[in-house]
Amino acid sequence: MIDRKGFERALLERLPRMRRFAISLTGTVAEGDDLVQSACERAWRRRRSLRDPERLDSWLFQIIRHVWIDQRRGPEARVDPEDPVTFHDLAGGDAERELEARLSLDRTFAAMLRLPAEQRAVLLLVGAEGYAYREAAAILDIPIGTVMSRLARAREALGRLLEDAQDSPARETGS
Amino acid sequence: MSADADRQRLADKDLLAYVEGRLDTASRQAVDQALSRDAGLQRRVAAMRRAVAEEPGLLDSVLEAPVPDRLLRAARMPARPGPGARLAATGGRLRRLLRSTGWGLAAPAGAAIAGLLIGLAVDGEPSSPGGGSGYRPAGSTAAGSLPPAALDALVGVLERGTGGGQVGAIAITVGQALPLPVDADCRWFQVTMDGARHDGIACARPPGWSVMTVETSAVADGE
Repeated sequence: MIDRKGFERALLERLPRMRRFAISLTGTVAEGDDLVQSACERAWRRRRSLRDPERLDSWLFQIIRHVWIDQRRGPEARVDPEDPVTFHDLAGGDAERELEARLSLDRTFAAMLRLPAEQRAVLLLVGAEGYAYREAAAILDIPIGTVMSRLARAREALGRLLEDAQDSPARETGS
Repeated sequence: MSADADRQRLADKDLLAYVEGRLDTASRQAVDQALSRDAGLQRRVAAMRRAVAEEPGLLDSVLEAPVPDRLLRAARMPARPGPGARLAATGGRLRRLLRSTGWGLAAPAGAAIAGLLIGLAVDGEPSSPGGGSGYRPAGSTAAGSLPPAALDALVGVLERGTGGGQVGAIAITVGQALPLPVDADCRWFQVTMDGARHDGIACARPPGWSVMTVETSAVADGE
């Protein structure tokens, strides 16, 4: 078990990567940050369920995914009875708006957003985070075969979208 | 699973390994051969390679961007011992408790912190403050009860100013100072002993610590 101070340090260190995963799921910075905020709160409450500190990263990604699923179930299911009532910032700060603006110029992200969220999650975990298929399957709670089929479809679709964007001068945004 | 799906899965697996450069020479040559005969497969592989090249840099700008304050706050240690506390909107109750013990809250500040106090775990109304004096000697309890051994150990930890400690079989965690506009250093604590967990708030005002409120629950495993 990690002590509270160590847990805090580990969480702070991982915020950028937690944000990246969350934004890849939600598609927007504001929603992604809401998701990370809720995930941090849940992580603190469930800290004791982390048996193996070596698995902290995938444990955090799992929490993000679970919170995201809960939130998508709709407003009625949105409140975890254990969740304290917290007020997320109504409007994102300057930092969030600036990042949103940067991402709006990111053609790869734009193409990625045309894929289903389930495929984006696999792409991010395997492609960017470098997880083995088996580990990605554990985080997403799906069979390894599903990881592979989603990854293959995601890569093919993303690659074609990027090729189309490049071949079509009308869509050049001068990156 | 149908034979088609089986073949598809096998193909996915091989193609993924191929574009990731993880095939041994013999397998790679087999895929190369298949590719040379199949223009559709060539296009698929070209698209997949294109994606693979982009993947390490996916959403890089998020990693480079400054993290918003609200996330830094959420990641920092909560002022209360996290999972042990039973959560309730008890801001008003704690304010009444503090006021009843004569520690008082300025009215506007009191209203303003109602939101801050949401989520604090306080159960049980405070006992009568008694004698009008707000101060109780270290270790006495205003509400609930703590076994004497736990009380001694807790007061020891509070006085040393450490975040927690282990005294024999008694485990103690103490939170950071609560953001209360009262003239006292108030902290969450959690004491676990003999299969019971005691969550509460203790406040320091010279010459010692007072336990303001305690809630006891059984320790649930696997929480």
